Amino acid sequence: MAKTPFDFLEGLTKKELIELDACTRCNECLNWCPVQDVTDDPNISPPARLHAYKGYIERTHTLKGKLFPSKQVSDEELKGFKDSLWKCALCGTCGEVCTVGIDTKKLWWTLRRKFAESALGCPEALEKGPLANYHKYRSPFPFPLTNKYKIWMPDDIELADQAEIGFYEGCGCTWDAPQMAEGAVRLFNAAGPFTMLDPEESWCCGFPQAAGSGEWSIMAELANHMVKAFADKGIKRLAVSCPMCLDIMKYLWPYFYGEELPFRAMTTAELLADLLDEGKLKFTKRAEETVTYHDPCAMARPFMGKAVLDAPRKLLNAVPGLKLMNMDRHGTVSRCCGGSAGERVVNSDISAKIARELFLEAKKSTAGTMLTNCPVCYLNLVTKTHAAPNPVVEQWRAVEDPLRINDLTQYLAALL
Amino acid sequence: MVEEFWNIPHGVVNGFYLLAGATIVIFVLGFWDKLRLWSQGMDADQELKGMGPLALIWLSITKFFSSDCFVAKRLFRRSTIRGVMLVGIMWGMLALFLGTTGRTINYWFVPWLKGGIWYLFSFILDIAGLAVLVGCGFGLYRKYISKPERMVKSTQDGVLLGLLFLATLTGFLVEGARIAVLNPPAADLSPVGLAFGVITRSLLGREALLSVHLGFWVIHFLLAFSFIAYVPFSKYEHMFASQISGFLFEEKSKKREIPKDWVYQDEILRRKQERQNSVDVKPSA
Repeated sequence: MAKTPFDFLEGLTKKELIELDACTRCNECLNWCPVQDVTDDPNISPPARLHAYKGYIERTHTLKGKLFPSKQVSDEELKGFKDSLWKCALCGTCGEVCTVGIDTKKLWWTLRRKFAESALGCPEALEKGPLANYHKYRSPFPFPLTNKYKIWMPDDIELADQAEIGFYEGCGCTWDAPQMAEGAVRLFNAAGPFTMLDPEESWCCGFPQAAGSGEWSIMAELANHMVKAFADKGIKRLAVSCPMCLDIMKYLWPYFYGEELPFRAMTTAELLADLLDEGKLKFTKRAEETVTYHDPCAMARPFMGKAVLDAPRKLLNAVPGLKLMNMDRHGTVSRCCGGSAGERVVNSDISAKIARELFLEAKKSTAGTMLTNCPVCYLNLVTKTHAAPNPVVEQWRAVEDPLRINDLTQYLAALL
Repeated sequence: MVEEFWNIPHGVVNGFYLLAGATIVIFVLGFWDKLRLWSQGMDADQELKGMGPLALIWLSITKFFSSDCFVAKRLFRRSTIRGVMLVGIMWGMLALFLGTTGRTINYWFVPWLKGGIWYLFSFILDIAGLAVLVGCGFGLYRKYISKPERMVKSTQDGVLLGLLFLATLTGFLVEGARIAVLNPPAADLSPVGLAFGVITRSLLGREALLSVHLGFWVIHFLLAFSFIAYVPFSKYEHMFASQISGFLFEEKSKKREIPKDWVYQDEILRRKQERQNSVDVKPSA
């Protein structure tokens, strides 16, 4: 879409405008922000961002700005603001702990969109990477969709042509954490018939583009294509491997589809927990160890609806012999892995440092294994691969550590 | 029985009313401008749909009494001491605002502050003032002495807290001087004012007390009016915004709608129409 000049008010909802004025600068969020943990720079903190943007609006759209005109909002200011906005991993912890309930995660999304729609654009690394790839491949990765399942789909899995239960593997699982997708299909396969989209129909969910790059203009086409494809498969309950895919499905897809989705989308863990309740899934092998579970940001602090905290724990508690212990920070205030929403691509160094903080938190729990259920967490924690060479990660990699990290579904699939 | 404007010359009272009027005008203009701005936002959340400035302020007032705001539920989850301090400031300011309104009604319209009611009224406002004083004092202590490890620095925050602290402190000094001079009956029902009265009486004679009373009375209303006029142009507008944000956060699972006049609205509706048309033209079995 055509790039527009920057109007600070345009495109913001009533709620967002009120939220900009609601911040009390109590500074609570700074104690929880993963970016603050590793940068200690309050100038890129949520209150500083809210205050700055509110100031731009006041200078350009209010009585105060007209009566006491100050200098125009300069390009330098906007570049600084943009930099701060993309240093955020959109984990949503600031909103969760906000003492006045500012839904910061949605607000940061909106502001990213405003930059992407304007001549200032999104960071170049995202424009040339995930966004350009999407326009070519309908995926944030530079690979054709036709190969999507070849890497990981086990030969013994039979997909139904049509089924009530569907599984969406997502791009992150496919290319970055194929073990997750494999684990999930083994579990669904054990529980009964299920289906998936044909690989070339299985486009990206839009999260890397909409949240990462702030580019919403692709969403109407994408949502219409994907919803129709899932509906054509007869899916009524859709398990989504990546919680960020689900986040965008629940938040933006109904917007851009123009009505409610004709199926119920949920996390893989939720659908598996349902199947467990229905007696279709059972873990027969014992696991004599203590594990801890990391609640991924998009499950702990989703855009819409309630946090998904119980389902993964229910599954783990169903494994004979397994002991589950929580980290100090778990549930709705779980730590971020630092990998989401463009952080890995744009600020590799910050991303790696945040991941290490989570790793250290897990080590404190004394569990032998940390499980998670998000491809970005998996990538950031297990493979520790980052876009740019990173001394923090190099040191971290070099350390032999007894803490194992695994994906929930991969772990559970081995216990069938 | 309360005696309004005791020890205040007529000219000063006139100045008081003039400045009070100006303060109200500035507050209303500034706040209306903010409400106008909020109402210019797109309609996406059902809870705010179609709301103009008046509807938004009404929502803000009604949600003030929600548990999120009135008992600072979300803040208590994070810190009990800060929760107590905030509630102290909030309830204290509300009581002082209602008290001032009550005294205005008493003076101009219906004299109702008599006997036992007046004593109770005095006691409540005394405690409310103490709550604001302690709350602001705690805020200033936290900001400038104990200093949280992580904090966004802002001069405005200190100015606002300082204004409120000094306005309340001077209010007590005025009350103390009045009690010291008049020694009114049941002064012990204004325990904080009485404490200030005992201290000032031990330090100053009657004439000096009268001067102190007048001087601090003027400073008190100047500080209070400055604070009120500053509210809609400062972060203290959160007094009206934060109860709406808290309410909407709790409602976040509710359905949202495509905003009208949104840049994507036409495409969304066109695709939806195409979808419906393609269903309509399917031949029947």
